[in-house]
Amino acid sequence: MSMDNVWIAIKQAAVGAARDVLYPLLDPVLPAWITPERLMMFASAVISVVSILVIVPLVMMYLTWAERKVVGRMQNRFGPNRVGWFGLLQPIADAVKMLTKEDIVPARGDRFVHLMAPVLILVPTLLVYAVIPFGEGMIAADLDIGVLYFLALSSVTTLAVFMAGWASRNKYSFLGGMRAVAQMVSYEIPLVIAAVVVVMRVGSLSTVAIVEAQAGLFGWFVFQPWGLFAFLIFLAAMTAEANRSPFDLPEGESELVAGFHTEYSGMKFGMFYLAEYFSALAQCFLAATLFFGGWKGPLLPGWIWIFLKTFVLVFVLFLFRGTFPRVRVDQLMGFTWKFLLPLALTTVFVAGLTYYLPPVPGWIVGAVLLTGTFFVLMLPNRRVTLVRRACRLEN
Amino acid sequence: MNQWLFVLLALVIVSAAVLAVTLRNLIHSVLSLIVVFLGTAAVYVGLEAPFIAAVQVLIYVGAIAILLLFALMLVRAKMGQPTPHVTGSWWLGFILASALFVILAAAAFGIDRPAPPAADVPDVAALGTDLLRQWVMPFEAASLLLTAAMIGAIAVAIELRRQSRRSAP
Repeated sequence: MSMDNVWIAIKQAAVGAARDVLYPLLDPVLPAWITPERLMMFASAVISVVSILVIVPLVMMYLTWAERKVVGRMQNRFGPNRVGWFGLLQPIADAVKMLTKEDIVPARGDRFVHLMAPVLILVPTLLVYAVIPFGEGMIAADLDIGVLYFLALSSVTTLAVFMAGWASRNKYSFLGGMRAVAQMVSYEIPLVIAAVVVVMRVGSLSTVAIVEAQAGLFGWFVFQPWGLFAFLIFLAAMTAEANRSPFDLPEGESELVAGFHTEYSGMKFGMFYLAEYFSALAQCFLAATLFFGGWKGPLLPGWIWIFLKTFVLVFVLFLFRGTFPRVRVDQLMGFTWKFLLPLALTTVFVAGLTYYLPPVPGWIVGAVLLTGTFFVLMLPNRRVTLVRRACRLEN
Repeated sequence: MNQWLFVLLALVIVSAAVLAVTLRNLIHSVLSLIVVFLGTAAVYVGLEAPFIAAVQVLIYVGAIAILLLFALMLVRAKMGQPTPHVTGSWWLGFILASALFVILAAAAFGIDRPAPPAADVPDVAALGTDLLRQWVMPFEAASLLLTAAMIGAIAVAIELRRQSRRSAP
């Protein structure tokens, strides 16, 4: 019996228990509008919510550990290795530290908005997990509008970042907040367009339908030219959207102390930290769903496949952090508006064009068109950087 | 939609809207306006229109609210300074708002409302097909308008930049 079935069995057992045990027990005290069907729906929702609330933070805890280990190794260090075997208890020690630290609010800051910002950033990053299919039938809510729901909710975090920067009444926080908002708003556009490419080919916004459309050995969309380019755009935009290195300007230590969360301490800072990892992980799950066939894969059960794919993507993010230097502000904006956005629009065009061509010629035409666009777009972007550098040297 | 749920949401929306116009700090006003947007999205969910709800969050909270905040930041250099409630042209706003209220109220109470079509909630696919088949001309007109606005904004920005370059050295 594979794990997928175990989870579904647990869910069915809970629903059955709600109908057969809980309802007869509580029937005398419950108001009339609570029917057995509603109670069953509620039980099923509780199981989904609890699984997400247990698994996601647990994974996140060990992502912080894994990131420190990987980046440490890349920088010829050991990473955490004092608390527990291989530092495995380090996340718990960190959590205790966060929870016991003093909570400081700037004297002239805006207390209420300062308090609400970490709450508002954490809620949407957890809500988006509702539409991620962890396996066949292992989805909290198979919405008709799954991808749109994900994108809409992740755009709310921008607001929380702004609130944090503004409420701290600190110029570093404020500058960091403004930078973050400008960056997140700009990178959202290529991110959405890259997701739209997949939605367009599948003809559905439901994440389950998208996974179902990627059956077969080479069925993953990343094996199509438009899928590969859409994935690369998505990867770049998602790294920027999650404020991760090399696009971590909003919290660039060398210029802005810690950016929008400079004035946060204790668990409030911890919530920003949590939200960053939650959203990076959620974006990786979405990328695995959109481009790598979600839970589809041979031999192993589905939930192992999607976790494997997601962790490979997360590992790529760690590699980015360990290898790339931080980009400059003008490079950051130029990269999305002058490079990613035109490339994303071309990908939409190619995905539409190859839909009407037979598979093999379509693959070749798509690959040629997109690679050509890629290099054509590189030319002006490169010249801009070179000319600027030359100007600076002359001066 | 459950009636009590609607009453609860309506209370939240109306009180946030009142706060949006009465709070002294403009940033607080925008933040309570965002509560109004989110509450409206929740009403759409209750009306079984999840697509409209998601678009409401994506456009109003994710884009328009951010735009408002940016505009405030650019216009008001001093952060968080309370601003006067009433400007010189308050009577114009009062007349326009009352006229709009009268028109909307007349429209809402004047017509005999037909019963809502039962169990015919269009899914997203039907919405998309209708938008791009039957209503493709208005759709294209809207995108043309947006493109024109975008080109206009860029043209204005380029002109400004040229001027500042000329005056800089």
